[in-house]
Amino acid sequence: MKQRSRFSYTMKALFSRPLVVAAAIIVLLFLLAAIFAPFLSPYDPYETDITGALKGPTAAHILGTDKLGRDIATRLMYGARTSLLIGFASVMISALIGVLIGLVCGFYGGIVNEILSRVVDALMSIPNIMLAMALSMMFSSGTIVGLMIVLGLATVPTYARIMAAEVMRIRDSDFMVAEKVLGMSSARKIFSHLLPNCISPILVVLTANIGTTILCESSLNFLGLGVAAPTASWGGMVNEAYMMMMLTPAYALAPGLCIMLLVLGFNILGDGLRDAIDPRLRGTL
Amino acid sequence: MEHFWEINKLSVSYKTMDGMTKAVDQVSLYVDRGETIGIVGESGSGKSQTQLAALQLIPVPPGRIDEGEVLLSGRNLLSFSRKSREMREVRGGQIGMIFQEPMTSLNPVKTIGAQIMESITLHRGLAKEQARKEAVALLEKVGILDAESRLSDYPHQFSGGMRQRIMIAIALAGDPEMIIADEPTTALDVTTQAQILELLHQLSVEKHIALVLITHNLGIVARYASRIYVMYAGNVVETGTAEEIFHQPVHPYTKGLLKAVPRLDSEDERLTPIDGVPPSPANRQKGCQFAPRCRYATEACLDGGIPPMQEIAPGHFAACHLSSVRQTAATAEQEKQENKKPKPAPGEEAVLRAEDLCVSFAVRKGLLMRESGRLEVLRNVNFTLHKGETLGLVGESGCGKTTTAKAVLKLLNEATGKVWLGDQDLLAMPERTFKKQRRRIQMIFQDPYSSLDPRMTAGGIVGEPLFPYGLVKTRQEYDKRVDELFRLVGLEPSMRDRVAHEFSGGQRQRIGIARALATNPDILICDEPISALDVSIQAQIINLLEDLQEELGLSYLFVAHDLSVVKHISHRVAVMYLGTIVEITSSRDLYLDPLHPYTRALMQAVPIPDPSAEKQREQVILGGEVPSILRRPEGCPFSNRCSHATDLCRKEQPQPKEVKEKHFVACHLY
Repeated sequence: MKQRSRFSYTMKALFSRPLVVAAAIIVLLFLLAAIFAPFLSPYDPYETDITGALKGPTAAHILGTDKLGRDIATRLMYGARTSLLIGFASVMISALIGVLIGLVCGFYGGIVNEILSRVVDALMSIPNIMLAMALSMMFSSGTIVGLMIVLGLATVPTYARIMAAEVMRIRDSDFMVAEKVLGMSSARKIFSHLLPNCISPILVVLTANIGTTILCESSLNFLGLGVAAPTASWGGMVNEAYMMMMLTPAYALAPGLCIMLLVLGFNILGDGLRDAIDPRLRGTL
Repeated sequence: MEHFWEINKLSVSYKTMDGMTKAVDQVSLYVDRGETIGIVGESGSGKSQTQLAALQLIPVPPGRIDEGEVLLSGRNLLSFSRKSREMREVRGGQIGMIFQEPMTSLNPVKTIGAQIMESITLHRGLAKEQARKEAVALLEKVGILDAESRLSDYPHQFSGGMRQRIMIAIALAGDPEMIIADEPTTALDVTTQAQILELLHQLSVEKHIALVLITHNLGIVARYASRIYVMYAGNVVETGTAEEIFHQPVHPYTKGLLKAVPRLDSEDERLTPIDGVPPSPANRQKGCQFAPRCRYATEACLDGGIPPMQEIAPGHFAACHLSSVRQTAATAEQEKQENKKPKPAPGEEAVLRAEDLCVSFAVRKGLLMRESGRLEVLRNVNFTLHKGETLGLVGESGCGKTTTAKAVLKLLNEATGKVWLGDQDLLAMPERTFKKQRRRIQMIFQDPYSSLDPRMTAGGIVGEPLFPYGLVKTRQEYDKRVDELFRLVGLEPSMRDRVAHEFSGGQRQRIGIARALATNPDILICDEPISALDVSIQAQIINLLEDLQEELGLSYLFVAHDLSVVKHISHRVAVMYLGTIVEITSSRDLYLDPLHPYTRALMQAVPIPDPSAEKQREQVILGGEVPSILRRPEGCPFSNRCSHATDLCRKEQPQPKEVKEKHFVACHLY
């Protein structure tokens, strides 16, 4: 069936490029490390051992230990859990809300669209990280769930805007006119026809946004506005370590590199997906 | 003998995701100085690719010229690299090109003067002042009024026809010896098309320029070309003089093509379509490319390799394995079987009636978006559609034919007047009430690509309204009905689960028709239902619509710009011009005795695919172009282009009068 073959065509186009394959492998490795962290590491990420603190890389601790004597490699794997969980969940939250707002805006147009668009405009003029910081200080109480919601809400406008533009493009196409001629209900038009046809650009943005969100989450954690202390997070680890940069370089560099690699991975994957779905944009990578 | 331009065994292939595909396969053709030839073919036949490759204008990669030679006055152009000085001098210098889309082939950010002068200075090395003078002369030559002052205008300030004239001026700027015109009039209105073709013809005669007309329209080549090449799936299948091609065609494809096109001057007998669909370049056959669609094909055709060109008469070649004797015998047999019964007469009962239908949009200006005027798209349109009747609605772009179609479907909030569906005025009904009745009046769209949801299966599209309208109760009934609808439009029910883009254009249009029929409607509004399809497919859809009408007693409002098609399919035809119906009468009457000056001009502008018929026709070409509705003349909308216009015409809009029995004309002359 062609539905499948279109999907396989996209996949073929996506993974025909070495860079995208490399990005996918990076993301996959982090994902596996996060999921199987307890099996991969013999250490507890929260058990402190002050006597063994701030040791450089050894055979027992391949990346050394942090200031409380916890294994850095283990902390990194548990940090990946935090980052990926927050990344995925907050993107889902924002996409869900954003897509719904966009659908309504785009489909009904007129005054509803005007009002929502202006609100979105206003929100978009504030940098995401600022918005997230403000929301975080107001609502987040240092829990992972709190951070998910905060980061999710901050990127809702992006999705709403893309969705609305996409809906308006599709809304007046002939097959939607045909729906009207057939006398089909609005619900049917929106959910059976508009939504499936507008969703692919959302998937692209969504993939790339996981990376951005992880970066944002790390920044908040670095600033101390993220998850509360003992929970492992890369941003938090960089914060602890950057003052001891000269003493134990691996302590700060390892989480920094992790952030960089994972964010880069998702961004390349997003770009690749966009190029694979829309061949007109090809060559941007 | 040396020809001016000669292509010998040129082959072009493209690299795609499925491997190499052959776009042009061993094509040979020639043009002599001052000669006009026509290259006819459907989309994907390689007609444009041949010329583009000859000028090394195809993108390399993915394209590749595999073999062949291209001789210009004996010099092989393929021996030069594509970016060489020689090639650049040929392109735009010795050979000028005109493309299909006058909207996109001019640079929008440069003045037209700069664009013409650029070509002049580049190819003729004139100084700026001289180039300017030359540009003015060229613009005057191609019929642009007030050329001097228009040099500093930008492309968007010109209409489509004017832009095509500018393209011709640019093509002429390098003082070419040959012009390649690739579908030069496809994007233009019929009356403008006649002007542009006439201009090209005059120029080629006057300056002794060789003219290559690439087109899918048989009528155009019949009028102007002395020799014709018919292309199919990357091959030339037949070539000869225009008379030979139109009167003694040999190749089954040429024959089929000629029978598949409705002619303005023929009585309404049924069209004979070519079965099947043209092959895509990606799946070429082993043998004769046309064999799978050919009614005479034998095994030799399917496996015997591509048939070589055989000389039938001096200069008349065809590439077919079959002797013409065998074909003739088979044709006679075939024709006996074809039914030639006349169209059934429509009933008396009126199913749809438009009464003083007007559509006008508010023109808003200024910061507060205050209404500053109204743009009248439709002005008091009146017509009646009877049961089982086809009413054709014909006119050039901007005449309001599609607006009329949308208005009677209650798709425009701006529509005023009355549209009676049976005994109910649907414009007066709120949408909520009318929604339940929408099933009675359905629509077929122009573009078979955008009118089907790309994410749905064909079965899902066709069956969508069945449950909501309660037309079926159970899943079994639903499946049965969808299968029935598929068969009704000539599709295999087993194709139900495929998605829209797996179908060809013609098949998609069938799905669109099946969707429209799903609700058992009384009326179908067909908005240019065949204009996006290939010539050989058009006849299939026309025949399908005719059969369905007979079988289901449907009434059609058939909107199209192609007068030959409208005349063929319709019982009555309404001719529209700038938002009003200027003439409405039976289609036979319209051809034999057109009364309105615009109808006459339109009739004359439509080319007939028959060179001898073309030569006998009087050639009066209507000047000017359809003005924008914003600049509709006072009084009769046609008064500024009409040669009979009087003061009365310029002051007062004529009302429709019944001049003869059931023949209404809105013109002061009657």
